[in-house]
Amino acid sequence: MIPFDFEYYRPDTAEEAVSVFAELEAEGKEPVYYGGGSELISMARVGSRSFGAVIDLKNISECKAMEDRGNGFYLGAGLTLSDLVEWNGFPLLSKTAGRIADHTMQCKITLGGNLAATIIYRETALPLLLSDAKLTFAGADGFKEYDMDTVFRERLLLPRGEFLAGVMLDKGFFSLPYFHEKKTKNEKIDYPLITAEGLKKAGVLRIAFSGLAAYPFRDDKVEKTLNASYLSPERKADKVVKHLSSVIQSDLSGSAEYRKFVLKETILNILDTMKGV
Amino acid sequence: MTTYLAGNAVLRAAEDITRQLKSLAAVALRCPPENLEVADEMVYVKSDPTQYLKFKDLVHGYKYQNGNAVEGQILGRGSFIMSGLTPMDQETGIGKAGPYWTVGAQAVEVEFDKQEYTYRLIRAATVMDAGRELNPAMADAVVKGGICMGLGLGSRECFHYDQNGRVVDTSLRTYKVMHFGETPEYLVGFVETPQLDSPYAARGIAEHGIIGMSAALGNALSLAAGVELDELPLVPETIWRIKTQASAEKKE
Amino acid sequence: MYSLKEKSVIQLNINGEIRDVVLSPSDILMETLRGQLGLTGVKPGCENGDCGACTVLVDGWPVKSCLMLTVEAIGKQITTVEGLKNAPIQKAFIEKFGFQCGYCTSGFLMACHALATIHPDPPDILIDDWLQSNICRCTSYEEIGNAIRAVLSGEIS
Repeated sequence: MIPFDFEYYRPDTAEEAVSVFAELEAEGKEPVYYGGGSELISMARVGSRSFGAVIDLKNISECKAMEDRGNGFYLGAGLTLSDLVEWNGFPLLSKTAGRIADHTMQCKITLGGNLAATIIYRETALPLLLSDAKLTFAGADGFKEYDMDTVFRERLLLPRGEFLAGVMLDKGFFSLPYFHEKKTKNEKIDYPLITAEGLKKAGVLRIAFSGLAAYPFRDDKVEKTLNASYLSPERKADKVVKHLSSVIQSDLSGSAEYRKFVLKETILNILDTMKGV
Repeated sequence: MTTYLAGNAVLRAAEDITRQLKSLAAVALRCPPENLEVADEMVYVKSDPTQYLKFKDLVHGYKYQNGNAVEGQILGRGSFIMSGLTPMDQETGIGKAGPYWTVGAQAVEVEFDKQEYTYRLIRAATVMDAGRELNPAMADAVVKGGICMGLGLGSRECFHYDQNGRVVDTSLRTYKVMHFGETPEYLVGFVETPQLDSPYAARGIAEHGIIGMSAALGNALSLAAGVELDELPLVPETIWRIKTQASAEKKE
Repeated sequence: MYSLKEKSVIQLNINGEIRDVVLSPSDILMETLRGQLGLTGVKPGCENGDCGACTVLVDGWPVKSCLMLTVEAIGKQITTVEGLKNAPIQKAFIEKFGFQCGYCTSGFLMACHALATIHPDPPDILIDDWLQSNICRCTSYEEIGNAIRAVLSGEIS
């Protein structure tokens, strides 16, 4: 059970959500936006998070929508990971969503919840970083769209009182060759030791990582190295490992030294798989 | 142990009830107790089964037609204690610590990736000798469940502690157990050497499938990796660490 | 905008029936189902979303009720194991010996029932994905696999 009381709100529009948030904030009630709730509930239960009110975003139409909008494909932040898996319009995103937690949890964890999570992995960020996605924030001034790489640096940079309404994807990325390698300690369903995923656009490889460092990221120097035709695969892999050495973390999934070994093997596999495409 | 201990005690209690039923019925049916048979919730005269009494007319005592009642509620008593046990000698190990040995053999087949130190479980086998298997489907199921748990212990499960000795993997999210779809093909068989002092020759079976699995897994992976692996759990990082250390030592 | 600020009486759709429930916003669905509605088929296990013993169906999809607020169930159809009413998967579990202590069973039944309903002809990898959400400590998972496959193949219906 959750050892404190709080109020529950379920607004029907983004305006209602932002405005009730501001009111509750002014009343000192410490509101939080609520997606799937799995992180909020599990943290609240053990006393590592508390709040005075939750604002459930799942009824707002911009958070539920899944549609082709001509200039891009829009995914509401309230869609569950399972919704993304079943849709499968952007295979790399669906594959990523399908390897986060387990299937039943995927029926509750939302896209927005995973992106805005406290826990460090935020694997849904990877396909969005790789495909130049645009994020729609809802705030006091209505909806605003931002490039993914300007509002996601290690974590989602959401101003207090605003929430992520949805993601606009560039359909041109949907059918590009891609790869997704998730390495864990031993069990298939686990936090990532390393998730390395990416795609090839116009012959250029893009790659993003989760679990390797304490945050998900893409790195220019890594991509330049992987695309440098004058280097051998072995040399590329060594250079990437060396470049990322200072950020590679140790945790329960594995030590930094082991991660370096796995990273090298993973890079070699990826270069091999993607060389013909 | 339940089959052996409680089973023997139950058999004795049942014999006690039978004796009491026959003793009371002998009086009511006016014949020697050894002429009586107990079956189908009745006690009847062997040579003339038309002479019988139902259990329900005996178990709370017997009432004659004129209203006189004799005896009382029939309660069976039985108990069992293991015989012949002696402490084990500290030096020689000679002694009888238990009533019997249940022996078995277990094996695991793995597919090992020599490049990445990862592996898959292909097949796991267990043959146990626990005397007669009274419920073969159940015996099969519990041994398979034991194999599954044993492989989980060998390949995943581990308590991690911080510097103050506190467990840090306090949820099933971080303390990993075996899941659906990660299991090998199971092969289970039984050899039935009867236990002569046990109910229906059974020694009973429960968690036996667990016991040797980690060792079998360790042996399989040691052969595959070409290095002795003696640490649990056998996660790829552990195999990688031991193998690379051993290779480095060899070079020196 | 719907709001629930304190303890109130709310109506929920549970196993096809409309039930009145005394509800606070901080209540967890698993505890409401067990404590107030007497539906103890929903089992508390890890209470952290890792074991699946608390699995129920929300509009036909499996959800871990230990990580759902009861108030989120308003307007949804909640199905617990008590609502399966002799579904093929229940017969299959009995015939194929799919349980020993039975504690994980109701969670598995819900996940399997949902799978068979939503994906009646799944590839093996999908069966693995769906059922990896539930932990069993007694069995080897083999009998559970046999039970779900018997339902999917039509052997048991």
